[in-house]
Amino acid sequence: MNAKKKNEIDIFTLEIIRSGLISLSREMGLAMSRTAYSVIFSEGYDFSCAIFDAKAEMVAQAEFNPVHLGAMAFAVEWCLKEIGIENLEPGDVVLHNDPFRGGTHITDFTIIMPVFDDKGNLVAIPANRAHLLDIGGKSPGGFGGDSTEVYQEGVTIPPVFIQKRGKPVTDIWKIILSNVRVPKPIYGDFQAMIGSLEIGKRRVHEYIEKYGVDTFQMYMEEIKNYSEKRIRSEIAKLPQGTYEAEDFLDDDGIKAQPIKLKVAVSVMGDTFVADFTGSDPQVEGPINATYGVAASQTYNAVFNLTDPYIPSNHGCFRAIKIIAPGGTIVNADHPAATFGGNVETSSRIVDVIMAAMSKVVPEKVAAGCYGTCHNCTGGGTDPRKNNDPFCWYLFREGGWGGRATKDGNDSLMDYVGNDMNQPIEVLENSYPWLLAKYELVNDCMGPGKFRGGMGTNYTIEFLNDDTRLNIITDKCNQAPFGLFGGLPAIPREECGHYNDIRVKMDKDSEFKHITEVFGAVSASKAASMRMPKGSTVELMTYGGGGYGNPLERDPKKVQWDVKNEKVSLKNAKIYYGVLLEPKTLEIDVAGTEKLRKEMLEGGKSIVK
Amino acid sequence: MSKLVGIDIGGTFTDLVVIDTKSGELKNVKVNSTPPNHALGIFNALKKADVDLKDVGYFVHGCTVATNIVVERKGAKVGLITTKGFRDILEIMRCDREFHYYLQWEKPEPLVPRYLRLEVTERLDYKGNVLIPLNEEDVRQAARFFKKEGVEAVAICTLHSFTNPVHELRIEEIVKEEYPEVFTSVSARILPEIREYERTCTVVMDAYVKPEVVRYTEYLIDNLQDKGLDQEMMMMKSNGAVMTPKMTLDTPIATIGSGPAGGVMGATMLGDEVITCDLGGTSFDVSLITKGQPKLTTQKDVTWGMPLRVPQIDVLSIGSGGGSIAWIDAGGLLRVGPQSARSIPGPACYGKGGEDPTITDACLVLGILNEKYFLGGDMEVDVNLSVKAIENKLCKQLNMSVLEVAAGIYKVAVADMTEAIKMVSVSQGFDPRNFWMVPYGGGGPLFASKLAFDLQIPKLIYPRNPGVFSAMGCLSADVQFDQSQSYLASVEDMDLDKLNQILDELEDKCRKSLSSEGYDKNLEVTRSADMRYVGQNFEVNALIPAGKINPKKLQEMVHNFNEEHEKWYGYMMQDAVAETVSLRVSVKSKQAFKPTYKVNKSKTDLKEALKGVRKTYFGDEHGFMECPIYQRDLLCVGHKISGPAIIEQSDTTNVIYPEYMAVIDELENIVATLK
Repeated sequence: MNAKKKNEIDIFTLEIIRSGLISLSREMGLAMSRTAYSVIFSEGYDFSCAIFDAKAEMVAQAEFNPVHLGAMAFAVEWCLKEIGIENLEPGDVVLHNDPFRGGTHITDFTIIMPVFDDKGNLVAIPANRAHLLDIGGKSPGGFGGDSTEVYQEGVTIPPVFIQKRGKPVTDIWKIILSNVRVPKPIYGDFQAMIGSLEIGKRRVHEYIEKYGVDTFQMYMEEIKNYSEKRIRSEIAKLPQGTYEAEDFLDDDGIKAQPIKLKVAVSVMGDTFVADFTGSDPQVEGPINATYGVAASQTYNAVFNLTDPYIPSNHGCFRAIKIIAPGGTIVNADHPAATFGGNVETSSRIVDVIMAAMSKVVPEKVAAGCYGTCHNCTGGGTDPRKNNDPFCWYLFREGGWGGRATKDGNDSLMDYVGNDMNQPIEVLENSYPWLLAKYELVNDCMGPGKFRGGMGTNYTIEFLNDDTRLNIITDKCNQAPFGLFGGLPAIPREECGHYNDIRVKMDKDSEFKHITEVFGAVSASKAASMRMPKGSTVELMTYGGGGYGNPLERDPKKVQWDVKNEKVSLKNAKIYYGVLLEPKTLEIDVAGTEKLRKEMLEGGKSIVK
Repeated sequence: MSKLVGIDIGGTFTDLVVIDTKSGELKNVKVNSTPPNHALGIFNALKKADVDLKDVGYFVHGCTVATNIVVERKGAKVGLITTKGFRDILEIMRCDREFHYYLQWEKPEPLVPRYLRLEVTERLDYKGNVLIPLNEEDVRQAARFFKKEGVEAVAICTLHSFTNPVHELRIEEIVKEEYPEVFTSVSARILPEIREYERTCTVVMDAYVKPEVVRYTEYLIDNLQDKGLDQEMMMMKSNGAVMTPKMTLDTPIATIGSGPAGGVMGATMLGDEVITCDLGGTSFDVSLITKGQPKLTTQKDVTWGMPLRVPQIDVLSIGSGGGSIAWIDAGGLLRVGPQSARSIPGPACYGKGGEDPTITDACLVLGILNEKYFLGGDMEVDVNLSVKAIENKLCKQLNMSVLEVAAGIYKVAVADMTEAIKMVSVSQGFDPRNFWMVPYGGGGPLFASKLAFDLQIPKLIYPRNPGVFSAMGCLSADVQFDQSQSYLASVEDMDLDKLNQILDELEDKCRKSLSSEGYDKNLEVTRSADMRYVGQNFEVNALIPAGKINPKKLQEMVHNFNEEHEKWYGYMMQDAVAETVSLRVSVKSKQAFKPTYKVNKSKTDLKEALKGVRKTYFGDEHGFMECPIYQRDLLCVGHKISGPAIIEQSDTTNVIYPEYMAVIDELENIVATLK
């Protein structure tokens, strides 16, 4: 029974190596997060780890950050292309952060470590990508909402060796570390990244020893075929045809003008094609997506629409085609500013594909997500710590859209990432901040038979005098959409915004929008806003869209939301047609039935 | 009073071990567990073993009551009091998802709904200074509201309370004044450590299980005393120690996740450097013992997103048990688990309607298990049903023979288990070749020698009674008390007086708690610090040397930390400055006895134990071999058996690979060493 020929695939071994490489990627990530310096990295998990084969094709990845994973595939390819395989040696580490060479945005660094067999053949490449706190540029922590070219966003580092034959290339280190505002944590984070590649290398050697190079490589090839087979069989189950949708970004931070994303999704046999032709040209402001981002997010949407358990790797990518014309918002040309492309435009790419597919697979999609990473960065000096400089990066979670049989989830990171929030107690230790509140936002969720999830309000008071604040967010003006009779998120009463940023310059004044205080063109994007000691910023994310007619929502669910102060009595009535006794919150069954009937017959989804 | 009683309550069975210290006689029984009232199972077991409680000098038990309450979400109605502006910490969670791309996934509901999470005006800064004093009227109103709502337990967790508990303690006082009969759990007492979500979640879980654990414990004590027990009923903690009823009532959370603790402690009796492998019906649990102590962790989730940050034995559990189902995924690959056929309907061979092939079925087909001697012949199984299940569900799709597929199931299961062992050893800087393996549970001894061989583990010890090993282990655990305190300080400018003061206070608290329970002899103190390089955000636990810490000892501490960091993550940064984050002290009162038993069998000829020979599969490297089968009951101290061999006993099957030589030791354990 063991008479298998040497070059024949044994499916049991295939499964063993397949699952082993995923757990190896996970191990790399955990080691990295535990040793990292920046909170964004260790607590926020803003990174990814994967194993590539000698062709620079991704074989396995662990569940960390979705937007990195697709794009990282291109970055590794770039590294090999530019450096040349023949110039790689054992113990080398190559680093790069160029958004236009398979990058995402300029603070995302990819590093790779080629692993060789004893004859000097390249066998595999452990790689990781992580968001580092700062890489120079005009805005501390990046995310200058008014940047107009990549040069303003930071220092681009093309694929270069940072370690050669096991020794650090000190010249490069000196250049990098003299161009960042917080060299210490950045150096520590790089060490953590390299340490994780060492783990990858060690484990790859174990595979080589156990199976031999040829066999191991043959199985890596087959692991990709396996994923391709699975994703193709899932795509083939989707109804054949072409489905179109459009969605908009608020603006680019430079001009107050919405930007269109257009997609025509075609299911052609077992291939999925997303054609973004007709999307707006690239813009001046920093929300241009690179091709890597467009690809990552298309993959992301397809996985969400099909089978979440398919191990994603290069094999899946073969079944998914992306048509993203150059010079557009989804595939910008150098030297466009791209910081927000990776976090805002990327989110809209998933939403617009969902909207297109909702027409044919309503049970698989969700209504609009809150749709932003609500990025807030900045820096200053810390009077509590000898005026040491510091930088931070906060992203914020929000409400997801309702689904065919379930409410949208509350307070989750956008599709783009799967990062974690950063503990308040850790942040207050690290930065001169005092949090005033961190809570779910009531009455913001799109009403529906299954309502949208809730966003959050995160309010920070600054205790130092020299904070500079940068913001890139979106969907301040455009509501997360509802589906199938579900309503969009309910706008904020006082200003009509959805996701929102407001500031209060001293304790006694009122919260105002950044357009009023700093004269920002856009309510959602701005840079280098000076925040004095005692000033406060309110970062508010919003609810997701609703799914299905809110008049069909189980009144008991509405009652539970009212009891928990998530939905007001007034909104229970005007959106859901549910009448509750104000004191006891008993459902007025007869009254509710009557009101709902009137609303339905009157064709109204809202009574005022 | 000469009898020691150890009881382990599992999901399916309740195991009991009695050792008569006078005669050395050991007796064990197994009865069905009786959820929800597990006390009944205990009484059934005592009856079956014919134990008179008046004769019992020591009584300990491990139970999963608290774990089940959390997993099944059947806990108390809890109210939470927290800092104004932050009541939603518990529901917002950490904002990540269990799966990357699973749009239909649902975030877990919080254990306390929003209307029972009340805010009070108060605020501390990051150093514990009071910025806004506590508004006591807010607390009174909250307590009154909870009383009106019929809340059974109140959890209290405010921001930065780990640096200064003053507000939390005052809140508890006021709650008790307003609502004396309610249970309270205070975060500064249970987990005075940084990270508000994790601390809140931990303290809420404590409150959530408290009323039920207290009811259970009190009921059990009352009934045991009625029946003549004159000793305290000790309970297993998740960190491998035992505690008195009073400690259980104070911190029931210490029993969450205590299920695997008994077995691991049992293994500490067999060696100082051990990898434990417990294979049951649904899971494979691995842990590491080093320097005679189980490895602990504070980074565990009870279920996804529900962290429990108290020290627990670091057990890695994967869904590969005897009942784990083999299936073909959408891409045509053979997978094993995590779905299990459990005990009902069970593996296909049970003939109870199970149609899915399991690991057990594969082992029967491969001759590793004996159809005629399943559970000592107590249970009838049909290998034809195993064959049929494999044929129907797998062979056709894979276009392979039954034997090929069965061998494939074995191979995939072994690979999953090997990976798990690597995760607790290699990945954490431990070389498995320096360890012994102790397999137990019904299935551990079945796979152990294959796993050991693949990892080049030189020695295995198959315990005499693997089925009741956990109950036995409970007897070997010591009484221990732990305290921790956040102390954020860089070693460069550390206030050593303050450090010594905190350590002394923590130790003093532990000693007091122990002595108030009557445990003041044979004390052993362990001190450690969670440390990191300044700027890092996660910590590694490093030992603190004994005695007053002076600059030299501080250096030693840093050295310990550097070594641990290197062990875990493969590098150290000697130039970087280290800092402490939390200090931990545990004081243990060593058991006065060692649970041991007498072996008094006259020496027989090895041939008498030989039952026959059967064709058995020994992995791809050997294929099928003619394997001698021995009966364990008939083996005597000193007998030597060279692999390949199978040693059958009523509660397990011990497989010895050809590369190992087995000897029966003084306590009738099988000790197999690499030839």
